[in-house]
Amino acid sequence: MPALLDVRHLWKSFGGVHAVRDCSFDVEAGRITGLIGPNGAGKSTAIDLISGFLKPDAGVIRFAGLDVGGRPAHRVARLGLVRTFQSPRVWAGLTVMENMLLAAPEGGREEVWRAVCTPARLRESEDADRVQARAILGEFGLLPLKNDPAGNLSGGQKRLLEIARIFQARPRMVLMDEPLTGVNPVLGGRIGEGIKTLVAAGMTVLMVEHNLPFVEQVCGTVIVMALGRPIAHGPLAALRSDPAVVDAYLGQVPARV
Amino acid sequence: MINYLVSIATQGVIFAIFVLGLNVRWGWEGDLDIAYYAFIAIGAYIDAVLTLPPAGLRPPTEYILGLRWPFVAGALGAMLAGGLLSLVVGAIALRKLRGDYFAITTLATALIMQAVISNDARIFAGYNGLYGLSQPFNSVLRLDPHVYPVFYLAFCLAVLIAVYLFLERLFWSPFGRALRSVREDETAAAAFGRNVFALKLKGYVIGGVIAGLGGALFVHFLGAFNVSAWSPVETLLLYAAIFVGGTGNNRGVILGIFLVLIFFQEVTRFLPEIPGHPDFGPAVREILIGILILAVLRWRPQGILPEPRAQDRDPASAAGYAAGSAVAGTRAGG
Repeated sequence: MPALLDVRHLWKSFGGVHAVRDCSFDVEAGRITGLIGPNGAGKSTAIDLISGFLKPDAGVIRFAGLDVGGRPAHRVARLGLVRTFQSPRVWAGLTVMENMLLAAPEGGREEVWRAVCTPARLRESEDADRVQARAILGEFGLLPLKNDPAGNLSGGQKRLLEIARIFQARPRMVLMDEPLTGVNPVLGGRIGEGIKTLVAAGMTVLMVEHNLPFVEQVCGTVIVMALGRPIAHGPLAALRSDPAVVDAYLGQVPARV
Repeated sequence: MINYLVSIATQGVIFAIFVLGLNVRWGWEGDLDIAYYAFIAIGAYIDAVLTLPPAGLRPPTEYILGLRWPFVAGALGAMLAGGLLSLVVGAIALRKLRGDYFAITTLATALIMQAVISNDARIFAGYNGLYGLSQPFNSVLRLDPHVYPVFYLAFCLAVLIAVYLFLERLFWSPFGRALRSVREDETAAAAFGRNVFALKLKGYVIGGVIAGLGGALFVHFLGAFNVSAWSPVETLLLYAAIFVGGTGNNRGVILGIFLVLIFFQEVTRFLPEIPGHPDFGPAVREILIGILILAVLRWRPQGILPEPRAQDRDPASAAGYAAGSAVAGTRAGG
């Protein structure tokens, strides 16, 4: 199967700090790929570059065959590449249901003239989205909260709402930046199940995460980054004995690989 | 007394139109726009120079255009001017600037506009100002001078209702929801495919068009307009109304502007006059606006009528809700 995401020779520096240097990797469609590495390895910067929140200094990012490098975030998202953040980002002042409706592709429904001229037809066209949103919220146990402001949810519920929003959005690929940050183990298991369901529904996941047992349990393939570039990839079990990986985690700076 | 009440009511209705436009920018979009009064002023000026006779007929004042257009054309021109100015200011200020930086940029815009219009008397007659504005539709209606103000109040009220209904549709539409999502978290909005800049610019232009329309109604109400009629401080009065009434709520901000206007008209009327200090009254008024904003933000930050929340009612399970739980039942019935 060809790679859905293909990153080649990506560079990004902030002043004198080379956060991502000559980084190349690819992600196969229909799998959960983990992106691990010590702090400062450039994992989050790589996610920001792929999702369009940062512009690369050099390099090529191909998503589904299209060159998306340097495109603004909203245009990358419209191609079917959605991301989450280290801290959950919900629209706090809007209701849980509004959060779900905003996750669905707008498909031209947000035009001002439509709001003024055909409000009834707009409401009808949203009915399918609402039915789907209720079903998804039900599965995540959030349905009784659908009319509450999302800001009133607990930290764990916000994480669940983030995954529920991705189900509603149905992108081709999801980039997740540390989905377990601030989550208790029980909820972590639930989030892991949610991520597996995303893939079962046909999506591809690239996930940055520090919790290695969780990564081992969820991710088929793992990419290890250190000092701004991948140093190894494969199943996590095989990587545990890789000397370059051990060095990276134990703090010894490897010679140029 | 009737004249006085009609005059106050007309002023309130026109200010309600102003505040509805600002509520789009601040309440829905979350951009602290201090230049807002400049968009009202540009609407007032443009409407005035479109409807007044040529300046050459009334020396020594000078102003551009002077086309003697009817009021409707003048008001449409004012809306267009408000929208175009919003497009220019928004295109510069909304692209990267947020929060305080955006507010400072809009403040600078308002001050620059005021300085240019004050000092170049050839555009809008500078400090002398424009005067002798027509009474809209009265060339056809030929109403008695005592009756006309009542008609104009009714006309402004009709415009206010139209603007209100337009904005209510917008608030509950996918566009309004997207605009509010940008206010709540624009990074997340971009991650779900929203063009944050384009959404903000649309909201900003809608606010500017409403300001221009309000300006056109205002200038014919006053009959004259000059530089001292508008300043950034006036925008604070509108913010006070938004905070008191309820940020983001169309009905709330209309309630807020009437409360604030009546409060200030009535309270400052009983202030003692201090001989030799004619500025005392206006100065106290500005201090009171500040205290009012602080007090509301401290004790009821959401305002009297908070922003309404979209209720999702599931037709399939509505019956089950009502039977199942008392809490859900009241909600389904509401």
